[in-house]
Amino acid sequence: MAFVPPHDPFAAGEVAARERAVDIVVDESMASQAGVMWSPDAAIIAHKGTWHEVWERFRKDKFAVMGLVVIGILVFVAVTAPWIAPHDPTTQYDEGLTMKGMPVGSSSKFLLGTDTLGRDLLSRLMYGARVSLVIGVMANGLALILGVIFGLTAGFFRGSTETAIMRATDVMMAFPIYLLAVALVAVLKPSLWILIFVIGFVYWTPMTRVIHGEVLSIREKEFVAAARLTGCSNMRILYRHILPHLVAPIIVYTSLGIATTVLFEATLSYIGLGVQPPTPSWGQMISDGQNYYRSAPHLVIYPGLCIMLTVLAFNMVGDGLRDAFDPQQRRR
Amino acid sequence: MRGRRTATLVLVMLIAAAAVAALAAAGCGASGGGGGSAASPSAGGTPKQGGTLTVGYQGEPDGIDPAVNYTNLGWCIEEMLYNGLVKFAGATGEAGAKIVPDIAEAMPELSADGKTYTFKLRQGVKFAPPVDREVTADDFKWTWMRMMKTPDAGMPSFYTGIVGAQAYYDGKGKDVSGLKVIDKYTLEIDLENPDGAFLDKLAIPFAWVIPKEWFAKWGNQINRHPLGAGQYMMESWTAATKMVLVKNPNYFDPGKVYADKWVFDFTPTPTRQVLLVQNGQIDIAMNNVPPAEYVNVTSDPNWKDNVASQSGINVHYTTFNVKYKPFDNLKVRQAICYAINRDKLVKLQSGEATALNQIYPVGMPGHEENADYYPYDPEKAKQLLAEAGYPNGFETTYWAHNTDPVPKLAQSIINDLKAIGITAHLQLMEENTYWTKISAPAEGVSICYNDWYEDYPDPSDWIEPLFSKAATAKGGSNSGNWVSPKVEALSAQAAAMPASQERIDLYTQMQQVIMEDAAVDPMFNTNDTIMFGDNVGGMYLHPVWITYFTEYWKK
Repeated sequence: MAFVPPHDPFAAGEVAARERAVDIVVDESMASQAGVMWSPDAAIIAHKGTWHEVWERFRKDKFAVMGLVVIGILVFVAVTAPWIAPHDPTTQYDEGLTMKGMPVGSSSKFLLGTDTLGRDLLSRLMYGARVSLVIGVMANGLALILGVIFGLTAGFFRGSTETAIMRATDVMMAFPIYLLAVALVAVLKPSLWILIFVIGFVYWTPMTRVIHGEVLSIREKEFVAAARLTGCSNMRILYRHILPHLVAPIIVYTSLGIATTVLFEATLSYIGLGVQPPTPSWGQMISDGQNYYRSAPHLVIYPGLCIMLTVLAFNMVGDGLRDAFDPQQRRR
Repeated sequence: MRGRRTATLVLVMLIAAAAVAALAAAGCGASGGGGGSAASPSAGGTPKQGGTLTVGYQGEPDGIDPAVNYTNLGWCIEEMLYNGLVKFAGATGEAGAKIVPDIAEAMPELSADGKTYTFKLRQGVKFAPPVDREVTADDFKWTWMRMMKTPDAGMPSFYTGIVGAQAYYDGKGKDVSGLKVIDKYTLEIDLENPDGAFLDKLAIPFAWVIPKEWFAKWGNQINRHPLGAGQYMMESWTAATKMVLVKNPNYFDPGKVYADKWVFDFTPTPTRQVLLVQNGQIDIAMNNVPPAEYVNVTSDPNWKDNVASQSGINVHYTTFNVKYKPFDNLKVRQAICYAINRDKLVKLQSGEATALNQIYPVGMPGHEENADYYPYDPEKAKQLLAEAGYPNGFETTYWAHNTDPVPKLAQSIINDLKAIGITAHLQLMEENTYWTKISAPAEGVSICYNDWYEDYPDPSDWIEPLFSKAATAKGGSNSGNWVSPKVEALSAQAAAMPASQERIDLYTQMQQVIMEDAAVDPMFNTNDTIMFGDNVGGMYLHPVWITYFTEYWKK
């Protein structure tokens, strides 16, 4: 999927932009004379209540709303797992195995059955949600922060800084990220924070590219030139004038990014480099149960379904957000 | 865009439906496993020559140098490529442990004092091409002297009882005077003391003959380029993937070479091996039938007669490396012995194992009836740990290899350790590199999963490789670096005795010393359960080789 930046809803049309630029210049100078902080958001919110529109468009997209509901359930389960999980996920029950040592199927005690060591599958799925979400969200957050910092710096300052950062990004993108992550985790010994750091570290490049592209277009707009004319410092321009316009792509790519980082964590856990047993993780559950795919396939199917639904939900929300921010853009 | 969204939804529904259908079909878990013991194959029929047989195993040997390799996979392959003075008979059970002549034309003459063996070699036994040369008595002397100087040699101390060998091994002598080449085809071996197991030690790969000019060409790289006088020679070895063996045209008894070609596939997991046998893509699944499949296979009327099984003469145990704290502390070791639940480990293997609380399994002389070393008692374990100075337990890493079902068993062991306060992280490794990693001195490994399979039916095969000082040399199998002067003394005493009940009693005494010092924690011995396809003729399991490939033919 190509990274087509979403249309910036806050800059519809040249004329509007110029008008707003003049408004901003006037407001800025008035505000600085009055010694008051000012931001373009105020003008925009007064202009049309665009956030409200975004939400309206999002709501109309049934799949996006379904995705949001699934995410909501996921977050709820992850947060309340210690209270609502029927069993401790690491206890190996004697009655969790048949006489011949095989996992048991669904029963009143074990709602989804047990795994190869007699542990309750449902509880492990619930605790696995915590691992997936925490790592997915935080790794993506790290990637996001890195991506925004590098993209903004490269796009705004241009020149040799831009060249250095963007070429570094190209080099990073040339690495096969899964292999790089495997190598890093194997050397650093897997743990929760190492995983977050590694996944975030290998994944900042797409965001950098997108932000860089967006900043390149935004910095040419009149209101930026106007802000410069009034003597705004670079920092002020970056944080007050440019960053707010990046909110749309950041939100969209966060949702899509979490889908990728959740899958990334599942992959690392599957090959044994994720969180270490007995902490459950969906990828690790698939790895443990894979030899039983013929005799007890539920061990592989349930965690697989969880991963699939999570990734799908985040993708749908991300797609929905992208459409909501720009209803005019023609889709491929 | 609407079209794409609908397509996504339809796809999701299809996948969900398929998943539900699969769940329903599979019956979610335990099937009514009625299959009791697996049928033993009837080893009848006339051997046929020709054809290709394929074997599946997870992992490839870490080199097949007969002086070094001490794994079952390595030995089974070496048995096809190399041979020696004598070999084990081709039969199951006790009859399979009988020694019969191979390159020797007859069983050796033994002197009255039991210290001198005189072997007469067959004439016309030739090494495989391109060496193409006759095997002589001198080749055996050269091979054994080379073996004793090979770094990481598997068990040179089996042979240091030959006169002059110990000094030669220690670098103090230039020749092994006990190896006398009388003439081209006659070899005399003088021992310091009589050794009832000496012929057994000649029937295993460490004593098998290697051509010296081939070694001159390849050096220790003969472990990747094997060449001997056996029934087969290696055509190709694609690393980590496949090995192909073809008939050795120079083999001295061509009527006894059955299949033309053997292919070893080193890629499939044990579960996949079962699938491949059922699809006819491989003929023998060399890893044990995994617990995941055992119940299904043995209750399937089409396949229950295709599993050969025998009660294994082996021991699976946890090794403590006494070079690392806190495993140098007796109470810590004893605590762990009380903490591990052996019955659970047997259950996790679908009952195809027997709990073992001593080092000798049933069937190994020296086994003590009704011994009760360290029964399962987590409370006692916690108490001992506190007495040892670790009331809150400690952290460590438990090493194991990753062939099914070991990772599962390791997780159960770690769970048992957690229950008494020891937090163990699981560290898994590929099987063949694992055996190399944990061979003495097992650097960096403080506690690990280990196993030992019978080389020959005598308790000296347990004591000398696992608990002797000599076996703590680099590459040896005394992974825990555990040494006991008492066991050394008893072992030397027993080695010099003729076969008798008194001698066996000494070995039982050694077990008592070992168990009281909690040198290792024996857990169970497994059954060997080998699945094979309908194309395999003459299938049976051997007490030492388990799969004795050169005995099978293609139907």
